Amino acid sequence: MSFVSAYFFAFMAIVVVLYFGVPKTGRWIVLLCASYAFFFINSHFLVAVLFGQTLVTYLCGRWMGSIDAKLLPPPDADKASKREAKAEAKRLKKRALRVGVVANIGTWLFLKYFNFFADNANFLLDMIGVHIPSLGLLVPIGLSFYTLQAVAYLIDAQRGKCPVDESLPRFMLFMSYFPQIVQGPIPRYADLANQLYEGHGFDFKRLCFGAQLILWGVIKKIVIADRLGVPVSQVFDNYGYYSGFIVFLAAAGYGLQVYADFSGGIDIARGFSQVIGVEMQQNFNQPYFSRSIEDFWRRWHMTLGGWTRDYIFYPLSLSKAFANLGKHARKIFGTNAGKKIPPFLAMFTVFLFIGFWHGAEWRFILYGVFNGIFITLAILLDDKYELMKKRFRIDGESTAWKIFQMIRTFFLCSIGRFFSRATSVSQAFAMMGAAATGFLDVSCIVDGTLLTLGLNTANWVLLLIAITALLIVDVVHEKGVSIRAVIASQGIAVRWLIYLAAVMIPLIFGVYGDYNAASFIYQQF
Amino acid sequence: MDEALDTQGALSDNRGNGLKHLMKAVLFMALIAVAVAMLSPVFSISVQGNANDDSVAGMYLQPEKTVQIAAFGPSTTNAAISSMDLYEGFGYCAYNCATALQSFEASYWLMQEMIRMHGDELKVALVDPSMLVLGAGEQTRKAHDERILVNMKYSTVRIMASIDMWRLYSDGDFLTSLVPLVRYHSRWDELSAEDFAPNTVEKRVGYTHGQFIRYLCNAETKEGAAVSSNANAKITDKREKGEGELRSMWNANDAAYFDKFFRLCREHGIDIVLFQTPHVEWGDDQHDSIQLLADDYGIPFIDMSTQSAMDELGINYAMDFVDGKHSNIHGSHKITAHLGKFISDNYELDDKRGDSRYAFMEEDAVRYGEAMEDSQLLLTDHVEEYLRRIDRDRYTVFIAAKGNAGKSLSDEARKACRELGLVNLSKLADGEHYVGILDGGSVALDEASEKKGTALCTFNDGLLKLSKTKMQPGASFKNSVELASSNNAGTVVIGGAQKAENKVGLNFIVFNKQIAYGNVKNTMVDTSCFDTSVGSKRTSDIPTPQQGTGGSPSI
Repeated sequence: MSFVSAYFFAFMAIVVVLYFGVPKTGRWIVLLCASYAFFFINSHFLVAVLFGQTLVTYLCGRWMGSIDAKLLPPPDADKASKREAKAEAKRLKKRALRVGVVANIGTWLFLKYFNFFADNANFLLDMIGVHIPSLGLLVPIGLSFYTLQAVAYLIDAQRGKCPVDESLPRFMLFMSYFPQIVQGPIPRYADLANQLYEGHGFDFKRLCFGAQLILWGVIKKIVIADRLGVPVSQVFDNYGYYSGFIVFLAAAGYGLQVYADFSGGIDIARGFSQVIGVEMQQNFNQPYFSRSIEDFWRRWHMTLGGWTRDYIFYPLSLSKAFANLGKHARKIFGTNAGKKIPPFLAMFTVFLFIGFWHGAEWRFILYGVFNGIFITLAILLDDKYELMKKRFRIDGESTAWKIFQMIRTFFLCSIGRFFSRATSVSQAFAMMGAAATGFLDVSCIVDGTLLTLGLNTANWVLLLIAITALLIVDVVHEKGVSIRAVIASQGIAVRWLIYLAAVMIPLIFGVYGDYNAASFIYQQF
Repeated sequence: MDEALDTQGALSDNRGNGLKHLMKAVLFMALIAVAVAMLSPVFSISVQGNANDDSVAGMYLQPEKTVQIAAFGPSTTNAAISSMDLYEGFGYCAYNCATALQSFEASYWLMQEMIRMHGDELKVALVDPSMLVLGAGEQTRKAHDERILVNMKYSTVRIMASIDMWRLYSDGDFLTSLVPLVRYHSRWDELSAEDFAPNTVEKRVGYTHGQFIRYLCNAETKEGAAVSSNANAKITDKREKGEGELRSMWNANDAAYFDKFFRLCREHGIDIVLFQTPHVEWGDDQHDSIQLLADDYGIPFIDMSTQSAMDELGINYAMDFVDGKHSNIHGSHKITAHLGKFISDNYELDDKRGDSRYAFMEEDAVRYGEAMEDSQLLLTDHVEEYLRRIDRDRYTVFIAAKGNAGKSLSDEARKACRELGLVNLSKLADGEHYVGILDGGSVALDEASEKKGTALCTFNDGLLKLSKTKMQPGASFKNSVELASSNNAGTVVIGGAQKAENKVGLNFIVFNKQIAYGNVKNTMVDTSCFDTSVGSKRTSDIPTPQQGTGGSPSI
């Protein structure tokens, strides 16, 4: 059931009616039933995998809770006993954490990556006559998202940052909440769980605001992303026939497509949640206004970035192993270079993970490596940059310089898109080569080439207008203005005109029906 | 800035206004519904695009509680059943609900609408069952069902029909069936002025009560060249297939909906008459299969596709049909007369002639009379008479001369040309070429020259515009008209297709402006050529009455 299908809207409407139709204490049950129904509709019997992971995570959480209860020192215990009890609890909770993390990550790796590992291992094993067969594994919807969510819960529970959930049914809701299970955002227990469990009252203004966010998400998905997908697919699927600037445009277009697609889906999820009184985390913060790749990853898929920061980067950077590595590196490379090696390595690990998380293919791993390299280079060359700016008397805060940085970042991000959109590493490199050949010849924009990519003039004009609108909305958000609040302050005629346009635009200009609207790109992860 | 946070401030002070908010929500939903309902006809291709489907939209133009006979079936039925002939010949008020490739689910929906609108007045259903045995593929059926739904007004019938669509077709969708805008939204980039023009259904099928009249004949269109005689009649009274095999010929969906159709009619006291019009694809098996159906339900079946029936009706394929299965106005007259007589002999229906409630039928009869007059152009053998017949304000006539068209143009013909205002044609000399256009009784073009003659114009919805530039293929190309006259050509090319006879002499194409839309061939009243290089006789392939098997098609 796609987020942009009539069935999903009908589903959402029924859930909203039921949610507000039952007493507040039972509203979370409506969400739980809806979430499992949604999961079952999309992944059928694989709902057992979700339940299994949920059960293991819940039990590990309870295990940690029981350790706390068992080892809780009496109030009159001395400091040494308290410290000892705390250390013992920490040790035992780590055991529970390990069980939970291994079970979740193991399931994720097995279902999503077994065939990838097997294929690559076979490359070597075939030489000694051993072959690991590929398995026809089915991956439940949202596996990569809810697995990270479960791991985050376990780590937070172990660290004492969130309470242990005592109720299995409620925890099932936290793990399966349907608006976010398809493509995130990846929530933290402390941020989301209680919001889901509380019964929220009906609020008309919240309904309006949520509906607006849903409509904006739908516009981004079916008016912009799916329309952009047509020429992008034409070039990527027939890359042998294209070279020069048009190939770069396809990669850049894919970047915009993913942004409109992914953020559109998130807006629909957040909009629905807002209607029922649940505030979900933002996942994007105008990423294409980033002034560096590092900045981009702070603004793009923010909940994944936050997850890797809290559960990979800091634990690695602050680990004993990395501290020892830093010591050795300082001895070998000197203090300045040596102290940078552990954080760089941790960061590289993060981007390797991000690439790997996106899919069981080498191109995704290279996508992560590509980003890691550019961030590393940017940090390493930071001093040189500053020198250069001084030498050429560049005002680092001037608008022109900021725009230059944004364009540069957009360009670099677009290069990275070759890896994430191509079907193989060799295709990605071939397309990069083709883009470099005659890159400066931009005549393809006006010589009619664009009209051979599956969109006619009217559709290109519409696309241009829609992307401009997306840009304007992002500019306004960047300035900290809430468009929905501005709309709410208008007279009823203006408001209703805007609402009507928001309904009619996707209805008329959306790519759906005969076009077979594509499923959300991030749904596959 | 996180918008989620700054919305919090605006989310206060909004409780306790439940009713007000509910009303607002309902009003807004109503506003969306109105916008969607207004835009749906603009986006829907079938409303303006297919004359065969006009009968559905035209159904709502009929005054309520008036129709006694309703006809259902595919386009062959739409072409064959003349509601006006049933009125003028028998005094029955009929409506022709037939549409292109009409499935039985569609017939069922339309019958429900007819019963809703006409209640007890409706007594007889004329049903062409050919779709049961000559059915189309699923996607074609679905497309035609959708076109019917588009033209139906919103009612419980339409909602139930949309549910039927969802049930019947593997990719059927309730929403797209109910809301045509969802189905046709992607046409936004091809909308033209035509899509926004007022619906012209009334002028096409309003006065005929559902029938879209065809004027041309096989001999002109050449589409029925293979069946220019009655050679298609294959019925031999020899039953070759067993009962099981014959039943298996019925399309399952059609059979199920025929059963529902039958029960609905029985519930409302409506008698069903099955009939089959002459059809090239009709044979023994189809006949036997439908006869079996008729026997099962105990209803009459009149098969006019048998040799004996065609002889009895005086059907002449070359003159009475526009192709292998669609009758023109002449064929329709014969078929309707036969069915009218059957109804008159077997059922007791009131004669509505003279009834003041049916005064609208008398008004429509005047226009129908003009259609009858139009149909006589086909039978006009001499150019002098032809020129007198085209002297009507309702015509747009394109004329292109080929060869020495002026060589033997008679004085009487020249006089008729002068009376029409075609001065240059009246003076056309030997060796001169000529292109001319008469539009609504006025001369729009009258050019004679020793050099090749050409002219460009557009013709759309009966509106003629002369043009100086050649139209390029595109959205409006179908409206372009190009006339050419030379020693080797007397052509009228419409939308890129040659429509004139292109024979030596004067080539004519006649449109009735009142019914013309677009430029599809079905709206042409006649295409003809008179070889005025040697005389005044018509040179098209229309056989003389003696050549056909069915006698004179005069009506």
